[in-house]
Amino acid sequence: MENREWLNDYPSLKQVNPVNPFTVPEGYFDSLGSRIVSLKNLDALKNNTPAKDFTVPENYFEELTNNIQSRIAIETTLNNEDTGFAVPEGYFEGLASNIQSRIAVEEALNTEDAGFAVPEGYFDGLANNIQSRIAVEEALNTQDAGFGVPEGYFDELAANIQSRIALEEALNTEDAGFAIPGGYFDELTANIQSRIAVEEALNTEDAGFAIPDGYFDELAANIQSRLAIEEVLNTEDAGFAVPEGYFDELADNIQSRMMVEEVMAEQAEAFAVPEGYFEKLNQSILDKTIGAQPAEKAVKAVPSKRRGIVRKMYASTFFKYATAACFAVAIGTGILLMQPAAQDNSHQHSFLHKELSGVPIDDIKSYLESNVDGGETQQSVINQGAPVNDAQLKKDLQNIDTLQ
Amino acid sequence: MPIEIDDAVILSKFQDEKTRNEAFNLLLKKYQQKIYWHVRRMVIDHDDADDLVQDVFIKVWKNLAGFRSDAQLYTWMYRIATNECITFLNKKKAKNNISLDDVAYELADTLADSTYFNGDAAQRKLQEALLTLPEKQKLVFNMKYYDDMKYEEISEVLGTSVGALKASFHLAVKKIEAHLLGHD
Repeated sequence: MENREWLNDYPSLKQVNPVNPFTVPEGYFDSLGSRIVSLKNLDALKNNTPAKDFTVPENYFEELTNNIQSRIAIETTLNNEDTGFAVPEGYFEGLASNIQSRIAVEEALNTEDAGFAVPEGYFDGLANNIQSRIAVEEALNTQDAGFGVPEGYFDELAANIQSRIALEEALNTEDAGFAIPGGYFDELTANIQSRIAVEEALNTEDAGFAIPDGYFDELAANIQSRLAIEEVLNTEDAGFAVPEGYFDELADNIQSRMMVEEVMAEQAEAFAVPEGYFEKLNQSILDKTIGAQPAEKAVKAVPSKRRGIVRKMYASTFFKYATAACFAVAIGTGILLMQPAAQDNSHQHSFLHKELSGVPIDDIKSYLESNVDGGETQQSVINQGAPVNDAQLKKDLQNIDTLQ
Repeated sequence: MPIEIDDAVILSKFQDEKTRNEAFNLLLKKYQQKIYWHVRRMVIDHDDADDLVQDVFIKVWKNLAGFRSDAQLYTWMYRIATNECITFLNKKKAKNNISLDDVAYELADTLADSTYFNGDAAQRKLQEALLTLPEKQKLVFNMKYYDDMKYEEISEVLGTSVGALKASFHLAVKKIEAHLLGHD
């Protein structure tokens, strides 16, 4: 209020109401702040944007006036010339007459085209002329090609082609890999029939063909062994060599060997012992070795404490040689059957060979004829591939049965 | 009611780039009415005062970063507003090619026609008396009579010594008193 004391000196002024007499629109101060902020932002944008974003080339405004004036002058000149294409003076005045004269000249030129004449009948012979010309040029072109053929080539060409086709067909047939021996189909019917007959004979036991007991049981093994032998024989590359002519003599050798065994068997049967000899033999040996000891004592005796006396049962020289011969025959037969390829002719110089060499050949043949059984005969016939005489075979078999 | 926020807080926020807009909004809310009435009493017309207030705060925004705290913020803003008013009145004289007295008459007409004047006859007479005063006397009288500012504060706004301000004020009051007494 001290500041207001000076009003006491000025009574007229003091009577005036010191309240602000001025007013503002309603809500003016409410929006003043936001309007000032907007103006502040706009001012900042106005001051910053032009200098940063929009630039002009140097001296642009200094040259702008001259550029605008020169542009105006150029456009004025272009507008005066319209299209810019100039024509000679008086061109359009003489244009109509020039066009008419040009038309007249071209009509005259077209009329002269009618003055070209051709010889009479030219077009009638034109087709033929062209064709002959084409033929001549083709011939010339053909000669120019330099390709010649032998004389009469085309006459023989068809026959050559046909023969070539036949030949290639034959070659293609062979190429299929199915080849047959010559005359195969000629003999095929007879072979089939014979095969049928053989199989019928084998399958029909009722037909009167008898086979040894267990023949079919051993047949598979026999065939397999035969196949093995034949494979070995066929494969020279297998590395198993046999002496020359070995297989030719093999059948004879086997037969002679079998005969020897038969002889040996007969000789074995020739040694007879008294009836009941072997039944008594054991007791006899015990009596001689153990003596008169009681049977009960002998039973109770401890074997480890009492040694029995071993005596030789057969001490004769003949028995030794016969036994050795039997072992030799058995071992030799086994080796012969198991390893035929490794066999050589050395057996011919063995004891058996020497013994058998004294037997007359006629005796051996007669022996074989009377002792070979039907099964062996049938098998040998089949294996040798010889034709089977059923009637003779049946007769032989009946004879064998009778002998047995 | 203007928001009474300490000037130091406003200045501190304005120094930070992130809170600068916030500081400016606080400044507006605190000083916009004071600046407006200071301008309005100088130029009388509301629209002119509105334009000048916006210009004043634009200048405050641009120059507040360089404000030195050796002066008070509101005296610094009053100084800017005063300069804007003087510049505006000088432009108006130059534009209409009229003298200062003619300006006073024109402002008197504006006051008479203004719809935003709610004073009585004495108040109107006072305003008419003020229009007859030189600008500096008018400024000193307004800041002393309406804003109750001290001579020291007015000295900061006008850049004039306190003694000179007192002399100007007394001259202004004598003229107003004479005007009031004369027209009565």
